[in-house]
Amino acid sequence: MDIQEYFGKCLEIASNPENYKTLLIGAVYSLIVASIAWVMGIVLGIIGASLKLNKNKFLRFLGNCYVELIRGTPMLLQILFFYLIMPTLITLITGNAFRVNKFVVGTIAIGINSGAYSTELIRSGIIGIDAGQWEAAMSLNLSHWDMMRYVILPQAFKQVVPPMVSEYITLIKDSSLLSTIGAVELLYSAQIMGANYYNYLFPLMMAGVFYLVMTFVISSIAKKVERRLAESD
Amino acid sequence: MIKAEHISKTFQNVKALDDVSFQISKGEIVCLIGPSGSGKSTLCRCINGLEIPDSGNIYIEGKQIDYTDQKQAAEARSKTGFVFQHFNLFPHMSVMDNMILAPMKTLHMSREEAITKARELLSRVGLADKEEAYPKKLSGGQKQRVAIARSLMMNPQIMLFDEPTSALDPEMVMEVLEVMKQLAFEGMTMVVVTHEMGFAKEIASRIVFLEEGKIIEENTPDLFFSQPQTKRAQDFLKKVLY
Repeated sequence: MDIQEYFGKCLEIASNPENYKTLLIGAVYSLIVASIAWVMGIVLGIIGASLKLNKNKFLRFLGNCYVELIRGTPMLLQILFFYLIMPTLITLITGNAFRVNKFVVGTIAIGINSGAYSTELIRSGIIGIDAGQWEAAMSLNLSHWDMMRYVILPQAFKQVVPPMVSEYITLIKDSSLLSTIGAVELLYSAQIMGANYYNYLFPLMMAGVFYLVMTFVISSIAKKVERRLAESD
Repeated sequence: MIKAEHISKTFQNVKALDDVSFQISKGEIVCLIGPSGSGKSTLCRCINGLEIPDSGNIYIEGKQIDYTDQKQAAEARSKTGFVFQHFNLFPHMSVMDNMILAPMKTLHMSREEAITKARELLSRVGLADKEEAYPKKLSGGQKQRVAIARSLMMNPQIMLFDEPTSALDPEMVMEVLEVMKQLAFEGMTMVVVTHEMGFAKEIASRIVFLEEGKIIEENTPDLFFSQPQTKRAQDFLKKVLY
């Protein structure tokens, strides 16, 4: 095969509209995985941050364990754990065959992973609030709950929005790791297409373009939101 | 009204307060003065439980307060208002929301009631037209006046001022001192940590001079400024009175 043939094959793939549809469906799956994992991560992050900032030593220890364990091991390993090890263990323990959906397990794994990073983001957003704000709320006799609800969290939220958006963008890219367990998201659709045509150039580059478009759109929206938030200061 | 007995507080090997005893009765205005690092702010903060002393007791209206106990702390703080050097207004809320948050949440005042009271206090500090403004849009002097009004919303019996004019540009010091003076004339009990000697001389009923965590001298303003008894107070006054 010479270079002309190589690029000719590319054109052949590119001229078939079905191929775009396949990649688009893959992209939608990627976006869904990233979105659910992101929301899951935020919920876990709020829980994790309140553990790590708790007065109770044991709860703080739990929060630290979660963050260190997740951040200290590769995400791919975590995905493989949930896909390969967890179902087997459940099967052995319950005695009933436990089958898993690749997307479900994969999204859970990514969500749990993201939660550890969100924990740190939210925690640093809260402790980044000036000590004077806590003291003023305290001297005005606000209860701990009112202080968090009306004074600290609204200010922390603003701090946390930009890094949370970049976490979302990271997740869109990280969702491609699910290709390793055979979940047909964007990257894996491209790989399958490449294998069918014996040519990876167009499918992989096109997948890259899809990722780029998704991340670009999200960061543009985020910039607008940030500007809006800054105005109300 | 407030009594502090044998208060000691150490920050990382620095003794901020060393066995300090202090009291203030109703209607008194006590100015705490002294060089920076003398412990005057720490004393003021201990009274409101913003710092927990390593040893010693705080009594408010004869009742001993354990500030590590939330219920006791809340009860004690309901009697005191605190004004900070850096104002500490809530930046994400308008002046009005700054004013009414705590009375609504803590004193369970209705919104209308709180707003009426806030407007009254804002006009007393000369800021009736600023209720919709956000703190960012206010000058330092205006922020501090809002902060004073905000703590008055809670009906304190004692006001604690921790260097209320130290973070202000010189031309804004006056407007804040005027508000404090007005409060003093209305009979508010006040503890004021300050570097404004003229102000202290004019409105204090008593001057407490601290250095290195100890009360060195305590006297009426007339006597303190005209015939300081201790060498340290004399030296200090020589440096600050131009």
